[in-house]
Amino acid sequence: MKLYTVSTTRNGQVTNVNYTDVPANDFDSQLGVNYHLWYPVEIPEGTNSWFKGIVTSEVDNALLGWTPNADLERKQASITQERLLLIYNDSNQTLDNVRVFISDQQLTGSVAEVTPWKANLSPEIRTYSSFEILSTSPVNQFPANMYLKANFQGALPQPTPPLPSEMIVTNMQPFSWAVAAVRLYIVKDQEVPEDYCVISTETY
Amino acid sequence: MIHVWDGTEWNATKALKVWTGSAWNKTYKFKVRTSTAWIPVSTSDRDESVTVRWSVEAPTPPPPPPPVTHPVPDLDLLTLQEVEALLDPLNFTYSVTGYEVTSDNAKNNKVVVDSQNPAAGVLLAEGSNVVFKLYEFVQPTTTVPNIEGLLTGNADTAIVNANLVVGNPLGTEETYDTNLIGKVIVGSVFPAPGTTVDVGESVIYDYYIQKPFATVPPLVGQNENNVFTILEAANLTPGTRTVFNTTSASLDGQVKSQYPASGTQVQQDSLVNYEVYEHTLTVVPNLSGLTTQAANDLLQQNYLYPGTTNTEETTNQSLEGKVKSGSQVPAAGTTVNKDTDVDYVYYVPNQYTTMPNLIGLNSVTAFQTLSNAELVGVNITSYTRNSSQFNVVYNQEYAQGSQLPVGTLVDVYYYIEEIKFIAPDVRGITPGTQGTQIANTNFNWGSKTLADTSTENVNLIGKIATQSPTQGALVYVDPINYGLYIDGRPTVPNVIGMTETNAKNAITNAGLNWSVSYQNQTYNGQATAGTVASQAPSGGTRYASGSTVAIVVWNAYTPTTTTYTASVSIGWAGDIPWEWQASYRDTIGASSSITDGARRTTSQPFYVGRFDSTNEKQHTVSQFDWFAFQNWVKANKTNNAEFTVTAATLRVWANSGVGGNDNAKSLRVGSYPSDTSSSPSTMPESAINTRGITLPIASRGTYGYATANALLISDCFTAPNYPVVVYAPNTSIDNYIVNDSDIRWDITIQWTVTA
Repeated sequence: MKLYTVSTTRNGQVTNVNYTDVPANDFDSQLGVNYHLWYPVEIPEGTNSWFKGIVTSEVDNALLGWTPNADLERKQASITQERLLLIYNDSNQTLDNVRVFISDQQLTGSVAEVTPWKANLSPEIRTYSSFEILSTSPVNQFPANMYLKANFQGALPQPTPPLPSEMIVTNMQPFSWAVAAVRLYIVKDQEVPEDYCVISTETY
Repeated sequence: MIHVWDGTEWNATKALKVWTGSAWNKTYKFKVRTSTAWIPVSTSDRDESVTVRWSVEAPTPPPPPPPVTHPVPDLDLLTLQEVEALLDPLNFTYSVTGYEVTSDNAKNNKVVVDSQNPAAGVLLAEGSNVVFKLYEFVQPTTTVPNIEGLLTGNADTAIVNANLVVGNPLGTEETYDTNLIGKVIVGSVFPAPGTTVDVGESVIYDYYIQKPFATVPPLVGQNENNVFTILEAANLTPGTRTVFNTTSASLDGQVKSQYPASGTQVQQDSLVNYEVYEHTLTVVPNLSGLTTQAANDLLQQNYLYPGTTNTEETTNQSLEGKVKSGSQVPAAGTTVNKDTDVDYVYYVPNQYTTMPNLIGLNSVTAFQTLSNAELVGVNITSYTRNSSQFNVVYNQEYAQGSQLPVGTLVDVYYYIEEIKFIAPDVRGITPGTQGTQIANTNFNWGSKTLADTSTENVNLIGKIATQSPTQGALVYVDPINYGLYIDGRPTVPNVIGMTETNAKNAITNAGLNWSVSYQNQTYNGQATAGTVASQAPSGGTRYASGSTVAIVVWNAYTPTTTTYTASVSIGWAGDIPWEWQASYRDTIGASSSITDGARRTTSQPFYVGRFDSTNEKQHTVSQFDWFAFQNWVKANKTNNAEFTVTAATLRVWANSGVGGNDNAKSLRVGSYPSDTSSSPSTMPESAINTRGITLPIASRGTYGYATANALLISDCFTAPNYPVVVYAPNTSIDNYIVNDSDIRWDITIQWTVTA
């Protein structure tokens, strides 16, 4: 398994801002939607290079802080950053179940969650109405060729309500892709100079 | 049609070609695999983890709570403990900013009125600071007045006026000074005048009061050991102690006088001076005639000591060991200090005597004289042969008048007669040798001073013939002088070169006999016949009378003849050059005559043998000048003696590369029977004397040699000499040579010399 995030250009810089700040690439007249074109890139592991540092003003503006039992409104108010996660089966085997989840984090300062996306079958992520897995190659979707067309209604995609904190992809074909989102919530309690989360896959 | 994906787009192609390793082949069919299982499995792990990091800042902290205030309490005249009790519950702090002086001790260390800030009643936040001043108590002072020397009443008034108190008790000091009595003693005021002290302090001082008087007690006649006790009981002090010296032992230590006199009124502790007898003098006794022991005892009895004692020698034994009269110092009867040293002189036996004169005295008399002078003589004798000096003193160890210790050993020098010995017999021995004649005697060798004695006894020559002193004589020891035996034999005369007669006479005249033998001369002129050639013994030899001297006399010379030989060369590079050389030929005519003998050349080259049909039977002729030959040999070889030629060899050179076949050539040597001074114009071969001599030449470029026989030697080396001819025995081309005039005679000559 391989995990990627996205860039606006092939082999370009990772896009480490919320996608509500990225203008649409074009308008799909057949579907009647705007869309973003994303290209897979490695998830950078340097501090503040994917998720940016959360500053005091953002902490102060969070409503009450995240808790596992917080209601939807409160969690939505404490969301601060959102990033696309591309899951790639880099083997020639069909995988029955691929679990993508946060395997470790501190739960202080901020909290990360993996939110599933499964083509158009998952209505929870409403801001992107659909994803199209495309490739510059007619024979494969290798990372060097794959790109993602993310369609959305309206001018820009809007923040989405939170979802369960893991994603399970079933019957994943060889060299195929799945899309998920990773979201960051503010806990609003103390300073954490180096917060972290570990995004892992588990196949079974 | 097939489309191929080149990574960017699909390209149409008609057919695919496959490279087989050696050529492109397009006949293969291709199949497409629809499964992806063949794609290689990824090298990555099946699952993956990605760690993402970011930072979270702390939320903005909450604002601080509003401060709590209290009104400031009034702190005037409170102690610090009281201030703290008020301020601590209000969470106020305080600090002291300064001090204010007060003379009121009750305010000491309390808050100055109205000095606090903030003022009382002002609202102040908890934790704030209140500042204020404190009172500081300072004591008032005054200066101690100078009361030294004042009467006590005046002093007390001055103390009170200065806000001070007169202390109690005050000290006193007794004095006889009426000017001081009742006044404050200088230096006794405490605190000292001028000192700054607190008001109301006590001032104390000492002042003078009258001191009582004392009566002087009697001291005269008292032992001085009691003076201190007596005076102390009367409150007086012993003053100056004066000594009065006396010779009386009984007065020693008694007070002789005092001052002030007994009964006088004086101040207490005054000094009372007194005079004390001291037995320090004595009278010197008379020591004359006393022994030194008695004298020293007498001095000790009179408190005196013997001083420096000197001795004086005396020959009077009754005076020995006694003090010399009038020698003592100080003199008898003089008064002196005890323990004075008294010097005196006492007599001792004499230790020195005067050396008398001994020179010229008989030795016996001299020793008696020494004995009389308490000296001891020592014999020091010397030999003399002068009878007038026998036993007469000629020297003494110490000069006359010398002072010598009695009993000194004195060397006395006088002569005695030298001892005589019997002279040994040294005749017949060699001088200088220690033969039995002179060994172990007192005599030594002298020198050869006596006349020599001649002898023909060779055993005696060089030995002693006469001596002095005469052997066996009783004489003083002197070196033995002597005369020697000398050689008295005749001397052989040198007669070499004398005639036989003169030689015989000379030998006879020398007292010797002669014998004669004769000797031949080995060459003419070696010696003069009839003269002496040698003698034995040689001239100058000593020879016993009548002995025979052998002489050898020369005989007359007998002449002899000697034959000599020498080598001479004629011709090419020889001692004598050729006179001339020429080459001739016989030409073959129509009648086959070959006898014309025409001359071909008189200069090189010269030819021998057949060259061609015209020039065949050629021969070469060489002639030398007979007289030149004769003259050269006599001048250079035979010393003008006549000579004969005993052997001759002709050497002929055959030029290399010229001539017939290079084989051995067999030429002939002969002569031409005519002595001419130049080459004839013709010389046919038929005119040649053939002498049967061959001249072999091995090859061209070599020499050939021909040995002349008696005929050819006669032809060529007797006058008139004939020229030598080299010719070929036939017309064979092999016998043809060419010669560059290199033809030479090597001859042996012989001559005799008689001498």
